[in-house]
Amino acid sequence: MQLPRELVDSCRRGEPGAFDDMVRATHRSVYGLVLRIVGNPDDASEVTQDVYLRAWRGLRNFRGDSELSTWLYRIAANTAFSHVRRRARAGVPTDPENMPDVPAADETEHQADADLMDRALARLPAQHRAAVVLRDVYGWSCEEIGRVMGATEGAVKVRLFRARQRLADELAASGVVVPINRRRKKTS
Amino acid sequence: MRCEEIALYLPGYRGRDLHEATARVVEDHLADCEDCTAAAARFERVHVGLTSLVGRNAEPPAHLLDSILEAVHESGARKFFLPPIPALADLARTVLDNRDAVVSAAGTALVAAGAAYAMWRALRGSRRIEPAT
Repeated sequence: MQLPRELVDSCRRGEPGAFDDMVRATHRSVYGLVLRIVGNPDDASEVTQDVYLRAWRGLRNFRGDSELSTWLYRIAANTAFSHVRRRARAGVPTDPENMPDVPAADETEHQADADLMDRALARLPAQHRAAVVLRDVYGWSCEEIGRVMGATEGAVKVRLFRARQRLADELAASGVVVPINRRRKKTS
Repeated sequence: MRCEEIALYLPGYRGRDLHEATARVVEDHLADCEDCTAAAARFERVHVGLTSLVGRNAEPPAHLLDSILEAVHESGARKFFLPPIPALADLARTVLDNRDAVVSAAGTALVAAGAAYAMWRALRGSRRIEPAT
């Protein structure tokens, strides 16, 4: 998600309507990220709204060192993760049953993988899901994830290990045939 | 490394979370071990599945965009109750333009505060009970 330079500059200058345009351009992907972390559509809507309020208040402090979209994603992950932590402290579990089916943009060969993976992700504990989504879907570094989660890089790696292990088990249990691409033996 | 040790690195191997040297050890082991290669394929499948989610987002509720814009505009409107920066600049300019009046008002306030303090001290002193001799 890359925003046009002019729109970013207009937002930073506080031009009327620019922030609204930015919300229009980004709210789908921000909602998508938030939903994958919080695991519940109602909470995701509330958190997404909160993300833009924070962005609106913090726009003056955005120095432009990174892409505006990266900055926005960081706010989204932070806000979503704070929400997950608050729910965990209150003893409220995330409800995977409420995860909506993600509509397919088109039929691709990865469609089945994506559907299966979305369902498997929904069954992970929130902290593991957040770690694996930010790392493997959004390409964040373990260090960045640690900053958002308030955890060390090592702790993030442990969560990633467990999440991937569990996902592999889920896929195996769902009867997915795992292709075994055996490597050729080295000849010396 | 033995297979049990390699197994600990397999989830991170496909996720590219291993140090270069460790990744090389795992790679060398996989080249010669069919069991570990089969185990690694499980994580390959996970990796492919996760990669297929890139750019695939659930459709947000229809009202979400309007709710966000409404909340942001409300938040912006609330900001007007706080003195904005240009208003502070105007205030500073007004003070500088009416320097004499401001200085005389400040002097009067200072004298009044001094007089009030002196009266308070006097009243407090007159109420003090003298110790019996």
